[in-house]
Amino acid sequence: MTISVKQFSFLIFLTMIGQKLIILPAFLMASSGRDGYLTLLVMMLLELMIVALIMLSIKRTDKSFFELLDKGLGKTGGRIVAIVMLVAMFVKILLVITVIRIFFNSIFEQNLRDWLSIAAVCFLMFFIASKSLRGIGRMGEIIFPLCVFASLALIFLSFRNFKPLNLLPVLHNGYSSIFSSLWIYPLWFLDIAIMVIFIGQVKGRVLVQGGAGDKKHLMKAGLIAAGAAVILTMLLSLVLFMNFGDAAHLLDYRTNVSGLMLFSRASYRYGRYDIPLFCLFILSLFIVLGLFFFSFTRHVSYVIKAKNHTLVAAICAAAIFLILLIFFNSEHTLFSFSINWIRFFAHFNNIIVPVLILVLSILISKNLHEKHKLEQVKLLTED
Amino acid sequence: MERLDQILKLMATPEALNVREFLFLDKKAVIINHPDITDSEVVFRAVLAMQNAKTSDQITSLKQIIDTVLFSAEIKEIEDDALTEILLGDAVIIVDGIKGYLVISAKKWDKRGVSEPLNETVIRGPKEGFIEDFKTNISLLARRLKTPDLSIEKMKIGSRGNVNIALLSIKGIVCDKLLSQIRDKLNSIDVDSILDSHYLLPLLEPHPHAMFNQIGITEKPDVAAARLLEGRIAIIVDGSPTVLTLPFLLIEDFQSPEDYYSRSTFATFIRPIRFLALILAIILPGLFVALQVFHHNILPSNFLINLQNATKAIPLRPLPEMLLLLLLFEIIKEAVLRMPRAIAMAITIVTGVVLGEAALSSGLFTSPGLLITALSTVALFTVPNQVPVTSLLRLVFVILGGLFGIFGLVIGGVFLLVTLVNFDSFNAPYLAPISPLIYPDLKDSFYFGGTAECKTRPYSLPGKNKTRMKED
Repeated sequence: MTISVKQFSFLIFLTMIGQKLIILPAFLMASSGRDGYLTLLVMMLLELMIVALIMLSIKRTDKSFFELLDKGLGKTGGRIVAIVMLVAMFVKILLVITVIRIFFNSIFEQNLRDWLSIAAVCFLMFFIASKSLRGIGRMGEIIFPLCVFASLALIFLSFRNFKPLNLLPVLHNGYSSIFSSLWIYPLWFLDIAIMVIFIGQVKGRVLVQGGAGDKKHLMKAGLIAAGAAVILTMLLSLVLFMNFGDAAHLLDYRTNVSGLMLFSRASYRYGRYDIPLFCLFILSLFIVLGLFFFSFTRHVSYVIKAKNHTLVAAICAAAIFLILLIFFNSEHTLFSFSINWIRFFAHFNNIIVPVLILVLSILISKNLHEKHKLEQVKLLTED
Repeated sequence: MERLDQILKLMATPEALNVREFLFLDKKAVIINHPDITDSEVVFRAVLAMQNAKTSDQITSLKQIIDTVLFSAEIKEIEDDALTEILLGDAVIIVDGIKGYLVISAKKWDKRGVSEPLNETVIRGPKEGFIEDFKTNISLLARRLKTPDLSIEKMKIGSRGNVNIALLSIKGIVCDKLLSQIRDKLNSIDVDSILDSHYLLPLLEPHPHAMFNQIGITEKPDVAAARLLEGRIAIIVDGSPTVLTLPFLLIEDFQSPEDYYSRSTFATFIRPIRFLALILAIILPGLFVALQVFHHNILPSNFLINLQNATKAIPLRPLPEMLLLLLLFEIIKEAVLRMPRAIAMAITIVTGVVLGEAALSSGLFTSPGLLITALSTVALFTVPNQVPVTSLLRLVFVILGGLFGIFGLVIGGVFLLVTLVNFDSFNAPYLAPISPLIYPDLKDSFYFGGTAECKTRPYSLPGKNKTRMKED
């Protein structure tokens, strides 16, 4: 089942802003200090590049991601790449579930039993993955306007206490802090690399020699969506850093920037009217979770050659539930784990896979083109 | 006469049928009819015409009788299954020595007049509604669509009921594949009888156990005609004032017929309100319970103090209180719907004023709880066709809010969203034109651009010829 270019663009937007604003700025503030927003800017520009790479691949081929792996690297090579990606995706899913739990526990000060909240989220992601990719595309269409509205409203509401001087001095800790953040937190950004799963799944004919094909608007639409995500993320994080450039606040409000944001606007007189906005914003995180888990289950099916995706999704969801409950019940354990050696898998997933897929799509489409040319020559000579 | 004996043998009470023998030219003939559902005058005239027939030609076939003797009557010739025709209210004539049966249309029974449907009242626009009579319902639609492209396929369903069903569509607009799919499905239905068109819903729907409607219903001919013009299929069932239309999109329930008869600006203003009302109806009670149980800190301080004062003397916790209130409202709703109209008004006042006041003063319920339940119940009825679904959903959200707080509401909301985006009605995406986003159809969705703007038929529906108005 394919999705439209529109749906694909909305998903790019939602994936790019998804997790960035809930918790990442707090990490960046801790690691890069006042230059955290610059680190975020570099991250977003990197994401923009990855978007371009993925869309070039989509334009080049109508083969699916797994077909490209099989054809380009052989069955064994393809499976090795898929297994490495699986590791990164697995940790990413654990992180997103944990972020959702933190969001509800800290913003709403609601202490649900761990097993209950994890079970609910795991069941939800199973439910999403048991449906089609088209369903996720359609969800994106509905959540996109809600998310844009929530982000703009949050920016508007946060302007009350902001101090532009909090952004200065620029590059206070030099370039090194920016690059070290990029090196340490690969699991927290470049979520966009997951969109490789959409290769061969976006409607329209592929780019043909001498013509634009049906996908001529794909690049434009995708880059506009990615650009809008960069602008919105940067605006919101700038407002955040202007509000809380002083890292001392982090000690009071733990690692959750949304907690900090609430501090600036929480009014006991008029009520916490920002809460509905956060609830709308968190919907983008469910899209990210759905996408990652969908991709995860399809990778597992590819590796073990399973046909029943629903059964695979059920087993994976149950496994994630148990692992999260037994080994990563505390968010600190998981955060430490995610910046450990496991991050190299994420680097592979985020940078190498999109480049590799582009190369494979170019080579395979070139081969096909040459084959086609040869057949035409053969036909002409036969005539 | 052997054929007559066969018919009578099949009847549990043969004496219920009226059997009259007479002479047609030199042959023995018999007319059989069900006196309770047949027009005796038509039967009498047919017999008279045959008895007085004078022809020099030798009559050897029923066709000759139709052409020369009974040419004025609505008449057809059949090979077998004469009893079904008799039970449908027609008169059957058997002529000795001639194969087959003559069926004279002689149906007659009391029917109510065409009136405004109670469930779909409008201030502006046509007031007539479908009734229980099959022929009248078809004529109400055919009168609005005077085109040779209007296709009316009639069939019978039910081994015992033999209910007339009409499948209506507009040739050149409707999706032929879907039409034949529905036709096949109707033909394959093996049931003893269909007492109302609602009986057909679970038999036709692709997901019969799903919570959401997959087939639209209407009691208004103008609405049915509009849906046919959009490329849908309509099904009329004999004995039912409700016409089924399919495929069905959720947005249809937000489109009132009146929107098309009033200023488009007003329709644009009112449609988002209907949508908001529906969301409020589902979420509000659950959110209120969640705020009370888990999230006091979210409420404005003044309201929180009032709420604390209102709830401190109440014996029930917020979740049971809200569940009990919703249950009571459902009981009142059911009672008001079913009680005799003469006392309905009085009872409504008693329940509304006396019971409400007494419940508050007795300290059983809180006034905010009552207010929220009343608001939610009123909001439910802004989209009347969805009331059964939304009533259930709000109950689910109350439980989610009461047990898991806002976390439960968000998770429940995402579940609902995932279900709806993956749902379809006969290959039409349920949430179209919002998801998938179909720009040309947006002009008749949550905003209404006016009939002059609707130059194309909905792309959300399968079908052909999407142009309904030529471009200037």
